[in-house]
Amino acid sequence: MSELKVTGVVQSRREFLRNFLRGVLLVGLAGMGARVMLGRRCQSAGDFDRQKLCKGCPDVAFCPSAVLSVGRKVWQLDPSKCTQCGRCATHCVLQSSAVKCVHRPAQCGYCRLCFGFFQPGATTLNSAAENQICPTGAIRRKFIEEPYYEYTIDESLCIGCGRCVKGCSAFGNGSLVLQVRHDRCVNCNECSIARDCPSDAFRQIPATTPYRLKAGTESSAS
Amino acid sequence: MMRTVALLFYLLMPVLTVLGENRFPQPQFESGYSMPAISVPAPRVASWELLDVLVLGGALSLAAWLILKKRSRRGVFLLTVFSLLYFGFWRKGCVCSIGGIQNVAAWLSGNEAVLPLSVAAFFILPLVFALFFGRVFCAAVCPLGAIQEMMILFPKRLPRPVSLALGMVPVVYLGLAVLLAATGSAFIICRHDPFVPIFRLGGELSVLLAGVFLLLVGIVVARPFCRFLCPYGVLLNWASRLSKWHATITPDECVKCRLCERACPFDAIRVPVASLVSESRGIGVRRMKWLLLLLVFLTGIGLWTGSRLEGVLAPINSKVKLDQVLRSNHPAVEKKYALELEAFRSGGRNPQVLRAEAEAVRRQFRVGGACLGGFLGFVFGMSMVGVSIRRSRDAYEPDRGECLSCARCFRSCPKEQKRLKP
Amino acid sequence: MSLESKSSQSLYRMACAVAVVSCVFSLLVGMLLVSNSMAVRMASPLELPELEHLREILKASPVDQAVTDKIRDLDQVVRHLYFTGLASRKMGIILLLTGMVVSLLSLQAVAWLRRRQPEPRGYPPGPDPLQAESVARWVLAGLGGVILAIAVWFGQVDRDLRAGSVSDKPLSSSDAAGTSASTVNTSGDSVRETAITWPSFRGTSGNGVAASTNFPVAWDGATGSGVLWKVEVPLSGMSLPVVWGNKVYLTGASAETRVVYCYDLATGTRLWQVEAKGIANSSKKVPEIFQDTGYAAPTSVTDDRLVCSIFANGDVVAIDPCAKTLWTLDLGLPFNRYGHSSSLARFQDKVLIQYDQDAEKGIPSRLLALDAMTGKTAWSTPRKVSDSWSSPVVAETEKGAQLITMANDAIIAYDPASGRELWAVKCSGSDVGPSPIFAGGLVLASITGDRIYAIRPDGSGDVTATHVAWTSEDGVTDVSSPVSNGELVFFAHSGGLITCLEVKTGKKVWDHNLDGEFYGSPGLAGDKLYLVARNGTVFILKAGRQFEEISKATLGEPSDSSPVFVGDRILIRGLKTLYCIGNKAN
Repeated sequence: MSELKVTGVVQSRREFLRNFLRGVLLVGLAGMGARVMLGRRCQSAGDFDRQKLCKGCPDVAFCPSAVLSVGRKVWQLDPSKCTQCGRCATHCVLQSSAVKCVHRPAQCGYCRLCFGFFQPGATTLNSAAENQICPTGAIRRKFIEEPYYEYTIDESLCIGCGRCVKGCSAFGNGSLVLQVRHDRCVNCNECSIARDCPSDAFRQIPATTPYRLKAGTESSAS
Repeated sequence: MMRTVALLFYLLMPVLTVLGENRFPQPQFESGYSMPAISVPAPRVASWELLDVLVLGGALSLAAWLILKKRSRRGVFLLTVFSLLYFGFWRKGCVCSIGGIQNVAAWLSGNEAVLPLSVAAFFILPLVFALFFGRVFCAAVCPLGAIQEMMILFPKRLPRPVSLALGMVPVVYLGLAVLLAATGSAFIICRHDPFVPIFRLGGELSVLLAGVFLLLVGIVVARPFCRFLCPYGVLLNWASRLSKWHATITPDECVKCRLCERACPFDAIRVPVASLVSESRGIGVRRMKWLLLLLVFLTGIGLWTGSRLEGVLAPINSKVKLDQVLRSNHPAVEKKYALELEAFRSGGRNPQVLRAEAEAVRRQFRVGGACLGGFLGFVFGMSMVGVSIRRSRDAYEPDRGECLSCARCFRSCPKEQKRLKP
Repeated sequence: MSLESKSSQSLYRMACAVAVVSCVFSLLVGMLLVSNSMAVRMASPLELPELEHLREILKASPVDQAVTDKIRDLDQVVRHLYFTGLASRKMGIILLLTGMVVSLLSLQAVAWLRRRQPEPRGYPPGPDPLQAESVARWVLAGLGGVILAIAVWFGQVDRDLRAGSVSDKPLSSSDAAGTSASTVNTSGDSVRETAITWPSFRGTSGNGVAASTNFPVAWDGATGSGVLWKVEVPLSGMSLPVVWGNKVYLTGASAETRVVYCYDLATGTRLWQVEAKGIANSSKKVPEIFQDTGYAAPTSVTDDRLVCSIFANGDVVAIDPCAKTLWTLDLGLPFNRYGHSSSLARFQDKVLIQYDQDAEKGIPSRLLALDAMTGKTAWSTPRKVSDSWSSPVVAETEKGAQLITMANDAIIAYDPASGRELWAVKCSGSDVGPSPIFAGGLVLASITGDRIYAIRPDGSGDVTATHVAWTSEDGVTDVSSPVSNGELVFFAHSGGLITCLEVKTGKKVWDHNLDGEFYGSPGLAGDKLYLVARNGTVFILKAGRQFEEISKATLGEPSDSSPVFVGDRILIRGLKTLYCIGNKAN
């Protein structure tokens, strides 16, 4: 009888300890959740502002446009830091990298001799294999009017090696840039290209402005 | 009027600067050619996150209901298949609670400014559920567990010492992962996630092979990753020990028929133990004193050892590594890190600044390493205390920490059979 | 066994068969996939040596139709292989998954059909709880011990590695032979900070002594035998090369242009050159200099972060290893009758400059320390001495580091951290050329026109009467500085007289007249003394108690340089050319 009583006491003591610890942990987790929800100012206000979505709310928690988008980030690379090392083509978890070359027509000089298209020292300016810099022939060259040619990227062929980008930034306007294409990117928790990017060009940026395509402004936004 | 002019000016500014920078001026087309727009596909991931959180919450609730109320193994299994397909193959295993540990660590240490809501939810919800209902997340929601669950074909029991020793591996893994994430060095859990390449149908070959190997091992050793590697499992294990309602083998009183003894593929069923009298109370008390002393000693020696590991661990951080490479100034090293050096040089970064940053990271590693060592010492000490605490048990019970709440054992209980077919 | 009925037995057999077939199928597909991934990697259009090679050929002969056709064919084939490879991989993965699902289902069926009723009576009795408990404790303790041991070992190994690299001692002789192999941890995890260095005027030691010993003793610069590489330096200068890792820096200047050059130690290719120009307040006036001094006489200092150089017009420039100018500074046109020739010294993060000027014209001399990374003045101390050619040297004495300077009328030591004067010895020289050394516990200073002074560096204030261990009128040099192995000290006079004194006592051990004029200071490597004569002959003597000439080598052009020893190579700067001498086998 007394033994039973002792067991009962031990049981209830154990039960109390368990309840107490559970309570502490719950409070901790709830506090963490609350801090995530409430504790931060809207850091992407700028982005929302540009999209005319920001209503000037003081806090993320009350932001109607940003209930889930605030803090939601995607990987992107900063072209101003990129050194076209070629790892984007090989280090992505996807078989064909999510990084592709993007052509910005507004920056393009529509050159007849495009350094992003032709091998250095190419003698004849046609799209024969020996003249092209692109290893997969993903750049299309189209005559528009004398002396201008239009260049477009076939993303299904582009492997993101950045050779054209290197040529264009070195000798041309720099209208070609590498970008993470978000229709392909699976947005890994830790981007495996970012991990090995020698120039530290990859950043997680707000999903509301997922590209770095404007000239000159890339470095300021990070 | 003034405003319009100012506005025009500001609108034109970027265009002008661009024109100023361009080597080749933009052509004036006469043939009526208009420039194509740049296509900017929206991130497909982002739009799914709210749904992910809702599905997670729903799946957890459903799992808890199926396990505790419905006591249905079939329901749990179907939910497992669903989780495998949704969180695994459809959502490609990302975002996941296991990797979320690192985001939380990086956020708490201040290395990451923002913790996305979905990641926070994935980290917090399973723990909260474990505090109330046990490891229902492991049972039927986690895609990594689900894919292994499918492989449990001919489970064999491991000798207790072996499983006990292997069970300490996740603690070390957890400690290392938190340290490396908190110092902003690496997300090793994500990097070595063995099943993500399978979900994505491709990835690093070595990791993929490791995943396949674990699956094959899983045929005889049930859920090897969950039991002997998963760092989140450590947290769930601790939370589950405090659970308010935990799955029980029998729906009412245990008759000690022993029918469930071998039902658990994870070796998480504890057999009844009569109160122990074969050892005098004095010996037990003395041992406990020694063990508590050992606990303090282990924590201390862990602190000391951990603080000395900075030199080994810090170079995992890219800044520290680069600083080392710059300092080495040796041709062979420079060749190996040629791309990094070229990028560093062309980026015009200041080696002095890099060195200061690397030094800051090293300092973090010194402190963090000591914490890691102390933590591991403490956990080892506590485990030794834990195995030495005896409590009498008069029924077959699941071990609250190790039980994955898979509901396999339910059907082996005659009382349950009776409940199902009255 | 629940395989009583016939139907369930046949079901079981079928499940087994399906399981075997689907497993074999999955295995085959898996192997195909692995080989496919290898093939795709091989066919990656990114790195294809053949294609690169063909393109090179085409560059040489742009109209070669055959090569053009080959490139086109190869390009076509590779791209086809690559993209079909990618597509077939996707197909393969789907097949594999299907195979795996089927095998899994069949195996599940097998397992289900083979399931047994629990047989509790057949279970062995569980282990004794007490015993199980003790086993568990030991397992945990053992595992914890193993982890602890590994961690301690890692920490210790790392510490040893770092301790080995932090010590200032550069490569030991045995290391030097296989520098690249022994100093680089191939895993790359803990890169040892190697010390193939000659960071300042008189090397790592500050005494002109080499860190290793296996240097060649025979070469001929004219024929090129024994010369690893030589490279013409566009602008001349008396300054010596300084080396950190694979980079060799040296300066050259004319009256108008001042340039810092960086060469690759391995090949001699010029990595970069940076002209020191556009320096704020830099005087346009050309300083009046002595012909022999030239416009780039002072040797630079370097480390892993920068090379810092000074020129005859008082311009100082610091450049990082990537050719980026970190800072520049103008010290003002020096009024030095000989032309500023005092080399820079280095202490911790400071660059030390002995900026002596013509005191007789009332222009003050000073000693200053600049922060190496910023160029900001850390401290500056006035000096009551007049101009000379001499360079300051940092000596690691038992009482701490001392900066030893020489001038016509005093040898003064300073605290390199603060610039505080520590001790001074009065002397009465004229046109002092040599720089001091610290060897065998004594500061040895050869004061031209006076005597050689050996000073114990532990005094303070004026120690002329108290701390001069010995003086010697034998061996006093005019241009070159002495070199010592701690026991013996060697002096080379420009007239060709080589004198060997005992460091402890100052007693003359031997002297010998060589057929050469010596402006460059002798260098010591092991037991060999290297003396570069002005006509380009290099005398290699035994650094012993008897005079013994080991060999004679020739540079092939005049030189006023001292030998610079790095790894297993000697760098000597001729009038126009920089020579790297070494054993070809390495």
